Amino acid sequence: MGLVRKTAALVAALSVLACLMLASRPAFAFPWMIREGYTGCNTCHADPSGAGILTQYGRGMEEVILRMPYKKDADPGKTGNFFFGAFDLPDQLLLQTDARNLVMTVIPNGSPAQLYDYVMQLDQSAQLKLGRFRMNGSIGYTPPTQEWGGGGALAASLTDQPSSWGAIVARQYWLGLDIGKDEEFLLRAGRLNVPYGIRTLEHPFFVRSVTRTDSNTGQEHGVSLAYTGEKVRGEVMAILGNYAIRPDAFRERGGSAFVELTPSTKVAIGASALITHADVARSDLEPSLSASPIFRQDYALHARISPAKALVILAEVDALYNSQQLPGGGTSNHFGMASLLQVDLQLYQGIHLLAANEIYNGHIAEKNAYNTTTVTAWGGLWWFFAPHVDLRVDFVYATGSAPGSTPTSPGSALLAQIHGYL
Amino acid sequence: MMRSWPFVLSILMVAAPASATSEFPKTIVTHLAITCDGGASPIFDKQGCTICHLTNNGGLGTVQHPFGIEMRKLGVTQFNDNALDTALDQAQTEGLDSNCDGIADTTQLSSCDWPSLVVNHCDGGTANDGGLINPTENVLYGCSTSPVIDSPALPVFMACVLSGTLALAIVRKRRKRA
Repeated sequence: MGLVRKTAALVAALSVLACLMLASRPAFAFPWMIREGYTGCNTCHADPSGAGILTQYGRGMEEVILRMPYKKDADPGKTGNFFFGAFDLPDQLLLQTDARNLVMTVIPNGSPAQLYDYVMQLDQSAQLKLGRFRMNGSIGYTPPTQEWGGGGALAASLTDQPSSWGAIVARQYWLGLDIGKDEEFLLRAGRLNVPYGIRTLEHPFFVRSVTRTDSNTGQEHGVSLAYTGEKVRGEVMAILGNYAIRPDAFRERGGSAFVELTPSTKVAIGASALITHADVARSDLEPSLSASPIFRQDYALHARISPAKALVILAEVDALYNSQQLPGGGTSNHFGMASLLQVDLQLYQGIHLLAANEIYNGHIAEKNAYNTTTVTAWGGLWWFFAPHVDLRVDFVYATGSAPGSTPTSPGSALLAQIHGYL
Repeated sequence: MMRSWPFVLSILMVAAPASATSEFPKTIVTHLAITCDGGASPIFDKQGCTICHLTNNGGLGTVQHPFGIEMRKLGVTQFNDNALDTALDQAQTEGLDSNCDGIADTTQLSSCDWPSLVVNHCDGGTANDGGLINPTENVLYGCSTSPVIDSPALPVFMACVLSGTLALAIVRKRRKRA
C-alpha cells in the first residue's frame, strides 16, 4: 500500500507539472480509418461528422486496430477505457482528457533556426446521453504565450485572451437530440465543428485554415442536423456566429453543409459548401481584405480512397470566393483555390508514414502581385506506440503561408508532438 | 508492463517551457543599433512585443498596433528575422510614420520612445484607445462578458483537480487488483 501511495503521489506531482507546463489545439480525427472499412465517423466519435470525444466503441478500436500490438491477438481488456479502466463509467457517460505538446524547429530560408515549445491541447471532454438527449462539451486551459508556449485557441476563448495567466477555452459545447428509428439523425445546437470538407487533425492545412473550418478553433455557434446512413452521410448547419470573438461585426453568419457518398467501404466521395456574411472582414487574417462587409463562399470536392489496406489517399480541392474588391482600386472580386493531397501508408499496425502536398492561391484571377501560389510539402511518421499515447514527427517545407494559418515565411519546419488521452 | 503506462504517460506529457521567445524586439534593437540613455533597457523594458502586439504575450491575431500592422504590410512574417531587417530598412528609408504622430517610427524606436509609438493618432485615435488603429475594427477574444484570468489561482486549481483525480484513479485501480 505504501508503494501505491508513493506512486500516486509521484504521478500527481508529475501531473501538476504537466498541467502547469502544458496552448491548446485539436483532438482526434482520422479520416484514413476508411482503410478498415469505417466510412462514417459516428461509430467512434460522439460528433457524427468526426473529431473530438471517442465513444466506448471508438476506444476499443483504438486498442484493437489503431495502436501498435505487442502480443498477437492479445485481449486489450479495459485498457482502452477512461483512465485505463480505473473507472467503470455508466453507458450514458463519456469522458476524455486530452493533452498534446509540440516541439517545433522553424528554419526560415536564410535565417537561423528557432526552437519553440507549444502546449497544443489540455482539454477535458464529456458527453452525457439520456435517452435520445445528449449534452456534450469540452473545456480546457491554454497557458499564456511567452512564458509557457501557449496562447493558442484564441477563437475558442471563454476568458479574455491574451492574458498573463492563460485562458479557459471551450472548443465545443452542444445539446443534441437523436432522431429516427436507428438514431440516424442528430439535431444539435451550440458551438459546433463546421460541417465542411475532410475533417482532419492537421488544422494548419490550407483547406481548413483558409476556409476557417478547422477542428482546433474553427467552430461556430449554430444549429445543425446530421445524417448518417449506410451509403450516405452529411450535415447541414445554420451558422449564427462565433461568440468567442467580439465585437459582433466580425462574427460570420450563414450556413454550411457537406455530403459524402460511399459507393464501397473503401471509397468516399463528397462535396461541401459554406456561405457566410460578416459586417467587417478579418483583415487581420488576410491583409488583402479591408475592414468592411464581406460575403465569403467556399465550395469543395473531397475524396477518401483506400485502394489497399495499407494505403489511404485523401484529396480535397476548394474554390474560394469573397465579395470584396482588391485594395488599390482593383475591380475584380477575390477568387482563389486551395487543395490538399495526403497519402497515409500504414507500414505496420500503429506506424504510419504520411506525405502531403498543399497548394493555395487566393487570387488566381488577378494579373498582379496578388496572384501568388503557395505550396507546401509535408512528410511525417506517426507512431501509436502505447495505449492512449501517440508520437508524431513531421517535416514541412512551405513557400509561404495562407490567410488564417500561421503566417510563416518560406522555409522548413521540423515538428515533434506527443499526444496522450485518458 | 501495462501497469506502467500511466506513469510513462505522465512523464512524456511534461513539456518544457518555451525554450525561445520571439527574437523580434532584440532584432529591432540590433538592427537599429539602439542604445538608450537614462538606464532604459535596450530590449524595451521587457515589453518589446507590445510594439506590434496587443500584449507582451504576442500571439496570432494580436498584431493590432500601428507599427505591427505596417510591418506586416512590408512583408514581416513569424520567425523571419531577415524579413524584419528588410522591413526596418524600408521603414527607415521611407520615414514610415505608422501612428500618424509626425515622427518617423525608426526615430521613435532609436530614441527609446517606443511607448509613444504604440499610441495611435491616425483617424482620430487617442492615447486612451490602447493604441489600436480603430478600436471598433479590431478583433478581441473571449465572449463579451468574459473575465480575464489575472492570477495563477485558476490554472493551479485546475491542475490540482486533474492530478488529484489521476491519483484517485490509480489508487482505485490498485485496490481493485488487490
